[in-house]
Amino acid sequence: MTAASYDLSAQPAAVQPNNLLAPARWLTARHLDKALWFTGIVVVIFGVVLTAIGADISFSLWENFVSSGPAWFTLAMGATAVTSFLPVLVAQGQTRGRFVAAAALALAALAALLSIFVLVGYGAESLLNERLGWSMALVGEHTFDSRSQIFLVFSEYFVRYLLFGLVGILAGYGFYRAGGWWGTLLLLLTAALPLGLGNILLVQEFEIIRQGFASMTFVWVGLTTATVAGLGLTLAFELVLFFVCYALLRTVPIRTKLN
Amino acid sequence: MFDGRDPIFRQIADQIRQDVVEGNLLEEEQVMSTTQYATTYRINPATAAKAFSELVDEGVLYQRRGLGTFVKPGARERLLELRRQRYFTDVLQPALDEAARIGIPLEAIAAHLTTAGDVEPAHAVGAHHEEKA
Amino acid sequence: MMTSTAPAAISPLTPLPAPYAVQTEDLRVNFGATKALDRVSARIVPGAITGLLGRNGSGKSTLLAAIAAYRRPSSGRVLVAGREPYEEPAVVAGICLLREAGDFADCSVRQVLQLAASVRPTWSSTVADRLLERFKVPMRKKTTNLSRGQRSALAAVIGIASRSPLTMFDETYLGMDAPTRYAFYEELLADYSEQPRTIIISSHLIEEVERLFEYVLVLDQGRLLLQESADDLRERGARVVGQSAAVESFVAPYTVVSRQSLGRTMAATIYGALATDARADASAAGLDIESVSIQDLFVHLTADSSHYVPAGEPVDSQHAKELR
Repeated sequence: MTAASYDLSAQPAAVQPNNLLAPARWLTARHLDKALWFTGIVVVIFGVVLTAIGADISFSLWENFVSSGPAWFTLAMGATAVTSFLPVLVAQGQTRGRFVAAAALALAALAALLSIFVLVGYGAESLLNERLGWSMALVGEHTFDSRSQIFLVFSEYFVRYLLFGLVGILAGYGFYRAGGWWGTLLLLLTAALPLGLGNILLVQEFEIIRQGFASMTFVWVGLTTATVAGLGLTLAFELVLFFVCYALLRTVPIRTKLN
Repeated sequence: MFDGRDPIFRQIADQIRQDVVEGNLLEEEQVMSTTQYATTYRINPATAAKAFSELVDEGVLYQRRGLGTFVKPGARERLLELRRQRYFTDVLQPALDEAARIGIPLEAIAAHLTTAGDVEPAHAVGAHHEEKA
Repeated sequence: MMTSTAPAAISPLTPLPAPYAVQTEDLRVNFGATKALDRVSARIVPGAITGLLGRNGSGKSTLLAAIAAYRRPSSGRVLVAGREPYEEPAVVAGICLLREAGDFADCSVRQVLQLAASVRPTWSSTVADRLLERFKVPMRKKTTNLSRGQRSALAAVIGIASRSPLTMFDETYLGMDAPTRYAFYEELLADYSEQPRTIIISSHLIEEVERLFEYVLVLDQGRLLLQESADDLRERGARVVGQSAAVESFVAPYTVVSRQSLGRTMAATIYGALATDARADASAAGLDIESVSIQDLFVHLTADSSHYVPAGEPVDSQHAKELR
C-alpha cells in the first residue's frame, strides 16, 4: 500500500515549527495560575498585617516585602519550568533551545506582571499614607526617588525579578540534571553565584567583591538598593545568563519518569 | 477471525475467491476497502492490499481510482476454470491418497463413481452458472 | 471544542508532510558502562507501521528515545527525514513519541491537550475530540493523578490526533484493558488509513499486535537481530501438525523451536526455510503445514539468555519522587 509509493531517500522535513509564541503563551498561562494564588495570598496577608500595625510603622512594609518575595517566587517558577515543563515541551516536538527561549519569555511576562503588582501596591501604600496619615516611608536607595516614578519603579523590579527567574532556570537545570541531592548542593553554583553577581551589578557595590565574601550577606539583605547604571549592567548580565542556560539545557537528556 | 493456517492476506484472498464462486459477490460489486478490512480485523491495511493485488493480477478484481475495488466481470468464470484445471491434482488425488491411507480399494471408489454417474446434468457446472446469471 | 486551537503552521493550502523515513547508522548509546544500544543500523520504511520487538531491557525504549532526540547518541548517527534530529526544530516538530510513564507536565489533562493542539502543526481537533470521548479521558484531572489506564488513554489520544509524520508508541497501551486496546488498534488503523504516517510500535505483547505490522525490527541485548517485512519473517518458519511419529521424522533436518503434543498428535514449530518438495512430502505423509506467528519466532530468536545482562536506561526514582 503506502510503503511502496514513498521514496526511501532523504526527504526534507515538511513540518515547519510554528513560532515561539505558542509554547511561551502556554508556559505563561501555567505560571499565571500560580502567580494568581501568590498575589492573592500576599494581598490577604498584607491586608491583615497592615490593619494591625499599619499606623505604627514608619518604614515601607511593601518595599521590604517586594524586594525579595516576588523575586524568590519568580526563581521558583524558573526552576519548576525546567523540572515540570521541559519534558512535556520536548515531548510535544519542541527543542530544548526553544524551551529555554519560551521559558525566558514566559518569565519576562511574569516579571512584568509582578512589577505591575508592585506598582499597584506602592500606589495603595501612598494612598494609605495620604488618607490615613500613615508614615510608611521608603528606606532603600532606588533608581526612583518617589513611588510615582512609574517607569523607574517598574523597570527596577522587572530587572530584579527577571534575574531571579533566569537564575531559577539555571537552578532547575541543576536539579533536573543531577537529581535532588546534587541539585541542592549545586545551588551554590547555579543560584548563589549568579544571584550574587547579578545583585552586585544591580547595586553597583563593587566594594563587596573587594571586601570579600563576608559582606555577601549585605548583598542579600540590602536588596533595596539599585542604580540606573546597575539596571543596564544587570540586563546585560541576564542576557549572558540566558545564553548560559541555553547552552547547558541543550545537552540535557529527557529521562524516563517513574510514576 | 483468521486462524493460523495461512498468511492473513492469503486467507482474505481465498475468502473473496470463495465468495465470488459461490455468488456472494457478484460482478461489479464492491468489496470492502482495505481500511475496512484493517479496522474490522485489526490488521495492517497493506495486508488487505496485498490480497487485492493478487486478485487483481488474477483478473478477479479491478480497482477504480478513488472509488474502490470491484469484482471484475467474468471473475467467477476464471476462478471456476482455474479450479477445474487444478481439480485432479488439488482435490481428487489427495482424496485418493487418503483412501489408500485408510484402506479403501480403488474398486470401491469405481463402484461409487458408477452410482454417482447417475447424477442429474443440472448439477454440472454449466447449468449451475445459468441459474445464477 | 477545547482542543480547537488553530495550528499555526498548517493551512488548507499547506501540503501535508510526507511520512518520515528513519535510519540509524552504527548507533551506540551507553549508560556508563552499560551498552543499551550496540552498533544498531536500522532502516524504518516511511509510511508503514513497523513493530519494534524485544525483551525487557533489549534497548527498545532507548532506540525510540534516540530517534526522538530525547537523548544524543554516544556514537553513530540517527537520521530522521534525512537529517539528524537532535535540537533541530523543523525535524522534531514532526516527531511524536509516547512513553508508558507519560511525559506529561504538572498540570491538567486539558492543558496538556491545549499545548499539543497549539504546537503540533498536524494536530486534528476533530479526531482528538472523538477519541477523548471514546477513551473517556478525564479532562480536569492532573496528569500526575491519572491511573495507568487513563495515562495510556491520554497517550493514545495524543499519539493518534497529532498525526505526526513519525509517531512512535513505546508500550503505551499496556495499561489498557483488552477492549480498550482493541479500540486503540482500530482507531490507530483507521486514522493511519486516512492519513498515512510512519508509525513504530514497540511491544512485547506480540501475539495481539503483530497483525498491525508491515515491517518488524527485533532487538536483543542492544543489538539489531533482524529487520524485515512481517510476512517474510513469518515465512522463516512453519508449524507442522499431524501424527507424532510422522511429524518427528519430517522435522528432523530442521531447527525445532517448540513442540506441543496432545495424545498421538503433535504440533512442531520449525525455524528455517522449507525444502522445495517439503510441502508435497508433508501432504503425502498426512501432515499439515501452517504459518507461524511472529510470537513463536521471536521467542526462539531471543531465547539464549544464559549470558543475559539487562541493558536498560536507569530510571531515577529518587529524583522523580523529590521533584513531584
